[in-house]
Parts: sequence; C-alpha cells; structure tokens
Amino acid sequence: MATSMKLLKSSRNLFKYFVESHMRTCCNVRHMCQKAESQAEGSEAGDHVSDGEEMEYETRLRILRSSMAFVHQHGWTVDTLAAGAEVEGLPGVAHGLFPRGGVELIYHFYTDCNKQLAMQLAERVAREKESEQTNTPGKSKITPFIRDAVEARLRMIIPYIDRWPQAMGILALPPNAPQALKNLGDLTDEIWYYTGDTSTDFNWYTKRATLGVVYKTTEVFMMQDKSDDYQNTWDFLDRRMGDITRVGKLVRNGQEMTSVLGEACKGFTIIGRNILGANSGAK
Amino acid sequence: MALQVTKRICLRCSIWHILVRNYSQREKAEQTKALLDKIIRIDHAGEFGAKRIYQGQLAVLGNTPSGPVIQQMQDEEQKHLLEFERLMHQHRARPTVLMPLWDIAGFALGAGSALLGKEGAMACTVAVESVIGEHYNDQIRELMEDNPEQHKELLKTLKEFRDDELHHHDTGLEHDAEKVGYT
Repeated sequence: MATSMKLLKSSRNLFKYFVESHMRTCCNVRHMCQKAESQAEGSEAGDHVSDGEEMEYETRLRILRSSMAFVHQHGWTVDTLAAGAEVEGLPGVAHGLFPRGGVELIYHFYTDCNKQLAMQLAERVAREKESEQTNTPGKSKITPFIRDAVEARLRMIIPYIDRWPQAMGILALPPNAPQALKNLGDLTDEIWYYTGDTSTDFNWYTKRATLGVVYKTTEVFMMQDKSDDYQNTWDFLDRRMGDITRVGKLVRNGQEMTSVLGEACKGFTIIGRNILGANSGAK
Repeated sequence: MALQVTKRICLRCSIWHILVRNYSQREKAEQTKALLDKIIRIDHAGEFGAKRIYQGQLAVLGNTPSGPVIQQMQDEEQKHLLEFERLMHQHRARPTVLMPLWDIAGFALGAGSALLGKEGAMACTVAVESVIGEHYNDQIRELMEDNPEQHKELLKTLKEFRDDELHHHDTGLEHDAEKVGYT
C-alpha cells in the first residue's frame, strides 16, 4: 500500500513536471493552463483547502448574523454589512465577501426565518401526532395549519418591519428576483410538506403557487397595517384562505359537472341510436 | 471532506490537465441532494410517461392478442412509478413541471404507434426502452461517481429497474418489432 502510494505520488510529480515544462514553452501567463496548475497545486497543500472553504462560509455567516442589529440604522445595504464586519473584529471592507451587497443580508434573513419556521412546524406536527392517537385526522385541519404557519412566518418580519418595505423593493429588482422567488418557493414547500402533502403531479405546483400568492399579498397588506397587533392583517389572511377554499370547490364542481355532462351526452347518443334502431343489430 | 477530480483539455495546447478540488462536507451534501433530486424527478417523469405510452397502446390494441403482453408491461411500469413516488416522498424531491405535457404526449405516442399495428407498437416500445436503459446506466454511473456506499439502496433499485426495462425491450423484439412494414 505504501509503495503503491509512493509510486502514485512519483508518477504524479513526473506528470506535473512534463505539464509544467510544456506550459513554460507554449502557453503564456494568462492562459487557462496556468490557472489549472495553480488549482492543482492548491490542492497539493492538502486537506486545508476545504477548511478554507468552510472558513469563508463561516465568516460570512458570522458577519451576516452581526449585521442584523444594524438594519434599523442603515437598512439592507453594504453599510450594514460593514458595521457587522467591524463588530466581528474584521475590517469594514470585509463586506466585499458579499458581491451582491445588501441583498445577501435579505436572503440570509429570509432563509433563516424559513429554517426557524420549519423547526416550529416540525415541533407542532410532532405534538399533534402525540395527541392524535384518539382523534381521526380530518382534512379540515389543513387550512388552520397553513393559516397559522403563514401568521407565524409573517410575525418573524415584525422586528424589522420598519425596513421591510425597502427589502421587498430590493427583492423585486430583476437581478434579485429569481433568488427571491426561489426563497418564496422554499417557504411554501416547507409549509405544505408539514401539512403532509403527498402530491406527485402538477398539483404540487398549483398548491405552492396559490400559497405563495396568499403569503405575498398578506405581506404587502401587512406593510401598511397600523392596527393593534396587526389584527387587520390576520383577518385579511383569513379571507384569502377562504378564497382558496372557495376556488378549490369551484374547480372541483366544474370538473364534476364536465364529467356528468359527458356521461349525459353519451346517454343521449345511445337513446338516439335506439330510436333510430341502430342498436338492434337488424339490417 | 470530499475530493473531486476532473479532467480539462486546454483549448490552445490540446493537453489534458487534471484538476483536483476539495469540497467541504456541507457543499458535498448540497451537491448530493441536488443530484438525488434531479435523478428522482427525471425517473418519476420517465416512468409516468412510459405508463401513459402503454395506456395509449392498450386503448388501440387492448382487445387484440398482444393486449395481455402490453398490459403486463404497463403493470410493471406502474410498479416502478409507485416506487419512485415513495422515493420522492422520502427525499422530498419535487415532481417535474411538465407532467401535463408527458400525460398527453405519452398517450398520443402510444396510441399513434399502436394505430400503425402491433408491429408499430412493439417498435415504439423497443425504441423507448433502449433509450431508457441507456439513461438508467448514465444515472447509475453518476451515482457511482458520487458515493457508491451512500447510494447503495438507490443503486440497487435503479439496476433492478434497468433490467426490467431491458426485459421489456427484449419482449418488444420478440413480438415482431422488427417486422414493422414500410412496404
């Protein structure tokens, strides 16, 4: 084993020698080969490369977490990130770790809230499962569950609600919109997953899309709501959930009506053929 | 910590260079999750499409002597479909956006090929199953490159399904797929 490793290492060194000499003769500095060589050499430094990756990831996480305290002061901008970096003992220019600027702080906050919501929903599902030994689970439990989940998630915005309209505006910008939609999709997926959704066809998408619309409209409503504890927002949410239920019933009724009409047409055709004697088999 | 080794060819000097990169555990886990998500989604769509193709063929050839053969193949595809749905729930993978498209297109392909006669239907089966067999092989390769230990169960399932699909391919050949007449 040791000799084969040595053989491998020496053959790799031999290969590198040939590559390097080739590169010195026919490739120039700006060439792709140079980058390849330095990458390959970077890995020679061994296992520390992956530690470097995680260190960057963890530094970014630390800066983002510390920056949240400065959101009220500077909003969702690079100034906030710089202030957060300084709290962590890094120079203010460390905000360069975030090439897209303030929007990365918004994504961090959004995904962080999603993760917290997932934990809360998991706990709630576990609690309901324990107490559900005697009760039979009914479909009617899904709507209140979703409603409570959306309320819980919107309440997480309340601490930053003074600056959230700015965040929503930034998320609506074209460079940021795709990731924002993905975050919304992840959020609705979490909520539906914990309701026990097992759809495996296009319903998967319609469910999440409708919930996304409900969440978004309620969020927008909340921005201009001045009532006590946002009671108007929760009433608005109840009305939207009612809308979904009514639309769902309408669609189901429509489908049933179509199938009944289809059967009726077939029946009339058979009656017609009977009258004309076409079904008796007589020529 | 996971090693990723890739080969790249330099466009100017046409020499292969080997690049080695270390991924942290977290990154590797994300990549694996994305890979599994993709594989399960695509396979689920494939099995659904195959089932619809057989249903289309049965709509035309259901009452002929080749009806039972097609019915049996459809039942096996249904079994595969249920397994992928179970895997979808297990891995929280999402279904494909194009489900309604595969629904209609699969049925149309099946019915259309069956209207060309039994040989047409079998030829369609042979063509589809050979493509699916190659596709499963590619996925098995991808999973082996990623982490054979972690994906042992899934690899076993994919290999079993690939063998079933190749069995369908051979059944199609047996039932005169190559006798599709153009004269």
